[in-house]
Amino acid sequence: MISMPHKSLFVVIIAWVIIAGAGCTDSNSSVLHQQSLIFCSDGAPDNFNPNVGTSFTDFNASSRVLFNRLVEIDDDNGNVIPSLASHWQISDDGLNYVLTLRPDIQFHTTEWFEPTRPMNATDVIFSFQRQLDTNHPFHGDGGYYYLHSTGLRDNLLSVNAMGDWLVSFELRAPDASFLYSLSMDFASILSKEYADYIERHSLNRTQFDSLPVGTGPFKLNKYQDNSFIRYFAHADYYDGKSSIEHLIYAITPDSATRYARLVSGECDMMLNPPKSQYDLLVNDQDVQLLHKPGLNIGFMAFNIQKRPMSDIRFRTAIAMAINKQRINEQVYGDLGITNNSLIPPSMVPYHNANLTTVDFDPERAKAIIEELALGDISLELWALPVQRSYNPNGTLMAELIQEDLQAVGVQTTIVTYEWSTYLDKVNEGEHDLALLGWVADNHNPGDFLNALISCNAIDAKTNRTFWCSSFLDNLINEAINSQDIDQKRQRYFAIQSMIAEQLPLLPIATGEETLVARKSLKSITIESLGGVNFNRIEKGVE
Amino acid sequence: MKNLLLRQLFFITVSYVGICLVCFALITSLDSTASQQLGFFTYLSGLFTGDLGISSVTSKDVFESFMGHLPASLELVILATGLAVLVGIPLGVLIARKHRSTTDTVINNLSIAAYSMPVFWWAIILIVYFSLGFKLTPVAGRLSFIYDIEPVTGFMLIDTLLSERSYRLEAFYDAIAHLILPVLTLATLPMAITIRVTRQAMLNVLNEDYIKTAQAKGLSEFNIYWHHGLRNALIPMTQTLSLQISTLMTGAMVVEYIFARPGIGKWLIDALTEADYMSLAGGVLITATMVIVINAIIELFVLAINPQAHTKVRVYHD
Repeated sequence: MISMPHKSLFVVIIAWVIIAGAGCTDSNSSVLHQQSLIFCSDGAPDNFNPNVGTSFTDFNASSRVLFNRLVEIDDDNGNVIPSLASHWQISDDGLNYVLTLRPDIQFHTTEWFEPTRPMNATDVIFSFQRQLDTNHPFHGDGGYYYLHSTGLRDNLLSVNAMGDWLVSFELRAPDASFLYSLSMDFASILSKEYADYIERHSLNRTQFDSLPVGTGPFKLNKYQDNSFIRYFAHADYYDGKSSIEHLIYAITPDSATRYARLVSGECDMMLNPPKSQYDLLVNDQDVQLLHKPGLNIGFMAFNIQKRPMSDIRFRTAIAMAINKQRINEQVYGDLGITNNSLIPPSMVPYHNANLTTVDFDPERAKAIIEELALGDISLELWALPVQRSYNPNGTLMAELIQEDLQAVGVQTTIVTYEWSTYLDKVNEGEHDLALLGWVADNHNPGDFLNALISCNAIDAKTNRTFWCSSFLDNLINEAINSQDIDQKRQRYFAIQSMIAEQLPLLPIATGEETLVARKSLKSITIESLGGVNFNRIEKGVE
Repeated sequence: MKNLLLRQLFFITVSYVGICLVCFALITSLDSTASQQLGFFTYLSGLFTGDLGISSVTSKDVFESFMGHLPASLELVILATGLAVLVGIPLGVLIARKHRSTTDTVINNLSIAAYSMPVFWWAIILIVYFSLGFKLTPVAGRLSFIYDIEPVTGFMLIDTLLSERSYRLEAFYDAIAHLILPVLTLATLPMAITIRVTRQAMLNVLNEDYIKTAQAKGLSEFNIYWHHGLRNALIPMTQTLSLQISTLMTGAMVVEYIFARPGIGKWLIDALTEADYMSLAGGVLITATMVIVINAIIELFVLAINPQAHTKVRVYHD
């Protein structure tokens, strides 16, 4: 008698489990699954305003899916190619750029706004005025970091309409990377008509950035804080509607949960797994791994303000002592490639793959160190405290370098701090040797070199070697401003040789952008600036 | 009886004001801007007016955000409590009846093991086997992201059925699948306690003279256990379980965080990591209020069903 309630309860539980199980198989077969792509993202965006974003998380959720730029960069060869602008003309003095817009670009129709006209020149002017003019009603309190870092805040004189689909940009001084700047996320084109609508109906201006209206392949449907972002395909997208109807970002900050969601099939895709997960994923039959060399560089900086790092013979000996092959195998595995040049390999044709550098030769290194008669010295080797694509394991790399240096008679102690403190102290020049890295914001090698090794970058606190050469600065400027590809290439090759000889820093490796996806996804392309092109992806049955 | 009620009310009020003061002090010491915006009484009165300020991080109304996340937590806690009671009480009665049998020893020891298991560890074990190993259950969340269900009540099990989408049944099953592991994880500890308390209370009651009288009268076993045993054992059981409410709430927070369920617990932890002190201040206040109110209701319930409770204090321990 007593067992009666117990028995019926048991039946209920069993029934519950069976129903749930049946539910799983049903939903797997539904069409909905094939039309939906779930991307496990690593963080929530601050907003959907591509003008003010600075992090990959922000851009990946806004500019990459919701918006377009006037031009874009061909990911294979780094050339500027049309996007919202179909073609352009540059004046002979390099001060005036006239871009012709496509006439058929439609903004998103959403629950919060219905556009009545296609994109035109007023939208382009609005998108830049909003950033330039501090009194603009939609300027807000954004930092507009990239407007500043590209130099456009000071150099962009005016943006004018020369017709409905003709825009003219006036510069104060020639800037050969101007078109590259226009391809960057911050230069996304927003809807002036939407801004006017918000003003006319006295709506809260923050709506402009929280409920975005763009031209991109997907439009926002819903953002639930810290949980998910749902996008719908933009039916009138100029480059063709995506076959993925619903794109969902499952916000999953914890990397173990991301892994679990991917393996269990709750997510279709994720980016840059740590090496420990990567090794497990390689053996998983249900997933595919895609790689693309990133636009980044991991390196070791010599602080040349201090002895003996100021001595080029010493720097050469250190470079000879370090076994990059071993570092590559143990720290990067499949997640990176050894790079002897400061310019990432995918910055073709400017990366010199056959650069002459010092070879790994511990015997000779030892001889040079003995010759220098440095006495009893111990150097501080600073280890990167964070995991980055350009250096997935700073501590391990530091330990390997420490071993290599000990073998040639140079003692080191490994030092590390919390990331922001680390950078502060490196900027103050407290290190002897420091492991660092850099990720490009665009495909222009000039910007990359300017940030890492130019004299100006010492003040800007991004050149942590404190090495500076006006000759090299001139070479960089010539390379940037040259319109002739061969000439440009020659300059960049000269720069790479000079750095390889002078060794203010030792380039180590370029990290891969890695993408993990379920086998059902087809036609995936990774972007070398990080991220994925979602509107090309097709989803089959798993 | 009246005096007793007043005494209870007094204790509740004092402890409540104490909790509020501690919360307030903690939060204002963490964040100087919050202390400028908030006085203690505006903080308290916000609870009754529903105005707990605007979050500086999400720019959303704190009270509304809390209420938006509450159903997810209630769903979890109610189902876990239900499971614990529905499984725990019959099992407790069963092993009390088979006192000192093998069944008793096994279940009793299992419940000790369950009692001492850390929630986060148990959750991970379940995920590793059921989600990653057998691929039976989802890893995280309340509902697969592919379903777009409009929140009406906020309870996913109800909203999926209310939805007019063609896939509402699939979504409903999916919501159930997402609840299995979290409910199982959260129910484990209260279930173990229920089993042990029920067993002990039944054993104590079954030794009473009135049970022997009932047996002598020739009443059926079911009648004796149900009418005379379980009803009398209900009072110590309710009292012990009422003490578990705060444990259940903290357990729910951990479970929500591990299974990424967007409920109150995860919302509070997110607020903490984002330094969103306005949300934290409001959220902790409402949570504390809820715990105290529920405890008070249970106390009153116990008083109502057993007026002798205050004269004859009996403590049932394992």
